[in-house]
Amino acid sequence: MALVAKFKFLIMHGLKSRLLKKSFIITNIVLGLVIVGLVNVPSIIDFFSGEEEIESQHVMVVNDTHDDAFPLEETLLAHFNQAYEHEQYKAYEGDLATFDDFWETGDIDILLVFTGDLIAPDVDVYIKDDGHRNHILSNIQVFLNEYQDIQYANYTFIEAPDVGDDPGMDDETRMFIQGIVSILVLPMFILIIITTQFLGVDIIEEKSSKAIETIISSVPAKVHLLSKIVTNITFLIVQSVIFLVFGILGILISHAILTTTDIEAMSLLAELAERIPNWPGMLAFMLAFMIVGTLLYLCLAALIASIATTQEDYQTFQAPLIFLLLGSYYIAIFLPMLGLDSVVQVAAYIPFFSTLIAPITYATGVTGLMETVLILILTGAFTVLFMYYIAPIYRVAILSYEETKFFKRIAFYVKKAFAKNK
Amino acid sequence: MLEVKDVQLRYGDFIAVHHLDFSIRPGEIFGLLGTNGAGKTTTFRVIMGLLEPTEGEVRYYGDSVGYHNVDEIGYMIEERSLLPKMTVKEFILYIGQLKSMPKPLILERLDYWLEYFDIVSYKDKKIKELSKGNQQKVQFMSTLINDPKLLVLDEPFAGLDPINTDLFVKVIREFQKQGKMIVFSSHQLDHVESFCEKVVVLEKGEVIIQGDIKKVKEDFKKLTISINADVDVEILQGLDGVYRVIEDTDAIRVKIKSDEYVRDVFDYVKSCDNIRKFDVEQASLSEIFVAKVGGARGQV
Repeated sequence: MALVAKFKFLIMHGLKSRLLKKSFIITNIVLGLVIVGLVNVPSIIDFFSGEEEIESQHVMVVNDTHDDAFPLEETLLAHFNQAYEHEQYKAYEGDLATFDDFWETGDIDILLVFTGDLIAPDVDVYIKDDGHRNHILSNIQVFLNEYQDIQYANYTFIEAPDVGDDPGMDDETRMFIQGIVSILVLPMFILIIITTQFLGVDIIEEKSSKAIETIISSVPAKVHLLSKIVTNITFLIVQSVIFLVFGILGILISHAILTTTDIEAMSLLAELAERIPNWPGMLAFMLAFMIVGTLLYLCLAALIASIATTQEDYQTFQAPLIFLLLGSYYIAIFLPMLGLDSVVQVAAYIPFFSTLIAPITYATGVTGLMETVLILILTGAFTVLFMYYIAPIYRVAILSYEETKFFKRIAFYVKKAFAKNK
Repeated sequence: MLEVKDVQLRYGDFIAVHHLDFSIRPGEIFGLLGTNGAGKTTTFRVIMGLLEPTEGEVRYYGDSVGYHNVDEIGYMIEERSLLPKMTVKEFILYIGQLKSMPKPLILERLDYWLEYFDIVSYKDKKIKELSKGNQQKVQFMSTLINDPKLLVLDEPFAGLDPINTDLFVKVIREFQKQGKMIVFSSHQLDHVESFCEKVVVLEKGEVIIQGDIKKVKEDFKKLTISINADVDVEILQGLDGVYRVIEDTDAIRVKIKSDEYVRDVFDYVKSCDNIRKFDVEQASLSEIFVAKVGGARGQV
């Protein structure tokens, strides 16, 4: 019971000393402002670009063609507004006695008069603001092409026979997802680096100052190791939640305050969600792999820190950990771009690499749902096994101050940790 | 009661501690002596349960030493074992809570010890800003904060000036009076001699002297006679049982093999003029230590 209390105390002490630090608070305030700002960039740009641009144009379409039953005004307005998130072109609700009254009537901006055959009509175009001319003409042209198609061609789309194969992902979607995931993997990479650094420095500070002997005389080395890992994984989760809260706060600010521009900000997320159909799964896997993978990297960092005797030692010894992370980051980013799917798929199964690679293989369809779950389970099992084997080495190494070369030192500690006569 | 029962610690072929066997009763101060690398720190680690002995066992009031009773023990390691970025108060609170103590009690005892060691003004100062002597005091305070029944002190006086050494000695004496057990190592053998009842001297993990200090001195047999008189040193050197004569500024010191040769020396000095001093002394612990350790190294 006392050990459980000490374990909790070590975690709380570690978290307090990290989360209540001035540097942590200041960094997060700055990051919060940056994130909220970034989320609101479209709204802010729109806000400062003035309201004139989003003033609607009132359009009147007169259909005096042979096909006067065709809903010409409705169809053309749909074409004109296609490029806009809001209704830029609206139907003119009023009436004109003569077309020439257009120029004197203040609340109408565009008048289009169609005569003759609608397949090849004569169009009188009245526009007060010349800035809209090209947009209007090009959309009339597009409409006419479609109208001609409707009149002359009959298309029947034949679906491919269903043979049970996964049709896969088209190249454009895949490239898009790769781009997005590459951006999302970067914070994961940075957070893992930061967390492992924190843990390593924490341990080496206690070891190099010899305080570790007093600490280990009060709590078992295993409890000490576990408390460091739990503290840092909790820190990682807290930091991620803070980022998420900042993101949500940014969207809320955009929605609540800049009401005129919020539609674009929200629609950006909506578009992302639409273009990445498996985004909930992808985010869930990213989170799961980040937690499991960080645990694994933290175990490695703890082992390295326990073997080192000074800060300088630790800086040198942590190179393998950095290389592992960098390697998996580059594999995750570049190999899918080169189309080396099978290599990436194999790499996704390798525990230290899976952290950053598996979420990408899932997002890009290289591994399916069940396969990704299997990779997650394997990574988790490996992490538990790894922790089980490093604990005795940590126990021996944390109280030793060998000055031999890295691998010789590891060999010595492994031998000592697993020797029958300890 | 602390019992170290036939403890041996081996790493493969290397034996760090050979069959160590001693016990400490409440109210006893026990000295563990030896040169650097003799195995003192390893022995302390075994006592604290940080190292598991290959053979033998350590019993603390009949129980093994482990994390279930370690809160009753105060352990001070040889080198400064502090977290320099913390303030004195933060560090003592940290160590105290690791000893399962409630915060108010830690703060109460902290104030007591700060006053005792005359460092009240350093309470909220970072440890790295303190002098080495004051850092040593903070470390000692962290050892005492849980009011331990057993004090394990590895070189507690290293680097201390005489005034602070006396302060530490006073605390140790106070703990002894309260019936607590103290085991410590030191290179300052005069301290060991002045307040230890029992000692163990280790050399390369092996016990070369063990037991009650008085008995150790008696068993050593060799004596020193301090003489102030007009004596002929050459005649003294020629006497039976004399193995060395040292001419110090205040007296001539004659080393004899055992007390049976005192009479011969006395008879000669009696025949000399101007006799002011004839003092027979037992060998000091330091002399015994040098003689035994030198012997263990083949340099008698």
